Amino acid sequence: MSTKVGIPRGLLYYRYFPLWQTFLQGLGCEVILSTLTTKEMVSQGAGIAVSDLCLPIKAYFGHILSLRDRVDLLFVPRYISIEEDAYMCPKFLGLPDMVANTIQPLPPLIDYPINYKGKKKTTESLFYEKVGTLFCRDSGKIRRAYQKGLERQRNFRCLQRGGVPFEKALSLSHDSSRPQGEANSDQPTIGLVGRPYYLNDPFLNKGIYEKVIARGYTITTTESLTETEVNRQISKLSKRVYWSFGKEMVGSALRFAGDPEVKGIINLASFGCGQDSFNSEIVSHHVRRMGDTPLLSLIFDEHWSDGGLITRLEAFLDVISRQNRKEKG
Amino acid sequence: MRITVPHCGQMDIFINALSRRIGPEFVIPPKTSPRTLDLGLKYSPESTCLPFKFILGNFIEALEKGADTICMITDRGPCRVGMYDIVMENILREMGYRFNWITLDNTQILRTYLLKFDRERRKRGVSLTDALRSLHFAWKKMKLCEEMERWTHKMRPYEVNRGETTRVHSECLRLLDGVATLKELKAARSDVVSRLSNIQQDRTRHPLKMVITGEGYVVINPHANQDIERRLGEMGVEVTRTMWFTSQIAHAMRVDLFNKRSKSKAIRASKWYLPHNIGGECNASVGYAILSAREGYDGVIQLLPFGCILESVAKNILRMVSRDYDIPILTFSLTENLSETTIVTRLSAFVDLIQRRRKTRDT
Repeated sequence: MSTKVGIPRGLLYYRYFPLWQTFLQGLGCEVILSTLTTKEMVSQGAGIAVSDLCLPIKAYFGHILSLRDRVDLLFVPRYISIEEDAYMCPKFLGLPDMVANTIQPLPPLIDYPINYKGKKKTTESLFYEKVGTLFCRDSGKIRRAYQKGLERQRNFRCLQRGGVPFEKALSLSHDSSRPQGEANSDQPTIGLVGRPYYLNDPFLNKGIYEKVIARGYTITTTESLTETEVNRQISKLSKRVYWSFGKEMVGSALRFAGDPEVKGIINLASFGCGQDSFNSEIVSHHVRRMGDTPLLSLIFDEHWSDGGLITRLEAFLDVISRQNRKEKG
Repeated sequence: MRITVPHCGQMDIFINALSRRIGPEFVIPPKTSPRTLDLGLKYSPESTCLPFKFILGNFIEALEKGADTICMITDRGPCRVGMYDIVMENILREMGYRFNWITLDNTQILRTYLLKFDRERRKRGVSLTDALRSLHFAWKKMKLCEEMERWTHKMRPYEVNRGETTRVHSECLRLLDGVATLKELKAARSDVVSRLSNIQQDRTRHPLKMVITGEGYVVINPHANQDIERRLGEMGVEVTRTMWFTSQIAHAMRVDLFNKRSKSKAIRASKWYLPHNIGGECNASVGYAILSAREGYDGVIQLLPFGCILESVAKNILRMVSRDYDIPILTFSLTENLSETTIVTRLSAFVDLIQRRRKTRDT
């Protein structure tokens, strides 16, 4: 019988799942996912976590609660940093420890680190090698599984860059023959700025995608930028942002603000997110200075009603359509 | 050049002592007051942490007082403090202030800051030995101030007339203010000791012993933690604080090998719960709680600014530490909206609980 490895559908799932899934399946594991985030999950997670933590972490705890009885191992890697000049969120640094010290009983965790900082580097390939040895001794098989995972991850990111939404990109990424995006429509574009686990979790972002699209706009997100593009944008600042996702957020906001095609920018942040309190400030400072692209900053928390959100969104889109009309007329 | 720095513990004493002798001119911001916080709140992004709001308030008040250069330390992650400089600079410039901004980066201290300092020294015609001597003096003076504070923590629960220790302490601080040489410092020290030992004490009491740990800024600064040490002392608790301005510097310069209660020891003690050093004071907070449980303290209080990224990780883990080591731990998230009554209620409930616990244990 194959080992059941549980992956909570939260946080870095929204960035690395294709790689994780292909890799683990290549080693003969059965990957078990939790369902999409639900209200119950978040309330359960919030019930056991301390109140200071941010919403995505509380939701993550909920996912683990729903998974723990069904799996042999839980995949909770410790992402310390994925590049030399930036950290992940400190909460990711301590994520396995928080999980292990909050939820019990718990199946064993796969909590190896990925770290590109300091003397004790653990690169991505080293990490997967370590994880692989948990399941098989054949290093060739591990390497092949990793390569296959990498390839799918590349396809997936390519599709995302082309503007394909998360779920669709996931299913299309198996097919390496056509990693390309969809054709652009002539509807006005809105730039969505945020972290992967905010942009792609329809429960946490209260379905903002559908809400914007239903009102006649297309969306481009932070994830449509390549790494080099982010770095180029970010080098315009007097000091680099040293958080990986913060860098992406600020970089994409700068891109959108300088792009006449993008008619408005929506910045998604979570209440209690330490980094976003600064990232949002930097974003709004620079967007204000670069021109008159309207900016909407939304901060999400555990309250469920979306009446306030719709009111603000409609007011914001009104501003944009008025601006558009003025430009044309 | 009129430099200003934020308030942090007894740092202003150090800077005053230093600048009086070798310059450059410093503008110490007015004492942190409710107005400071109001100013900070008004211009800060809403969900930043409490230290940011205090420090921004300090800077605004210093600029009003005529400072033209702001000096601020930085870090390279993962804590937010490393981004303070660009966010603050943007805010202050948008408010219309004109100033120079110096960021003290630990990788650049040697290259830029010390050289600048040296140039200033030569311009004023102060010899190098003189400069080093005053550095030594300033450090000693700051050390004495911290030592004095430690004495008051030990004495307060025994005082017969409530508030006397605090009164004598502020007298002593005023006395130290005028001290300008090592010799005077020595005399002042014995004066301080005699003044403090004249406080009427009731040595038959058995005060509870508690440790205060948590995020550095709110632990070190009474204005940020609503004077928690004094309040606890007056409730009859002997307080031990884990973090001091000098101990933080000593840790950063790696010269705290012989300190029994050093931060590195605490970090080692936290290994079981946090195998990876997350940064800031996260591991140390957990480690200090473990060390205090082993040393037989009655309770631990963790202070953190609400939303502190690193301490919220520690807070989650401290609940487990409390269970495993059977030691009561109170975690205190500090925000600008915390009223005095909330603090007093929570503290006295915690103290009551521990007192009762001790009673049941004794019988």
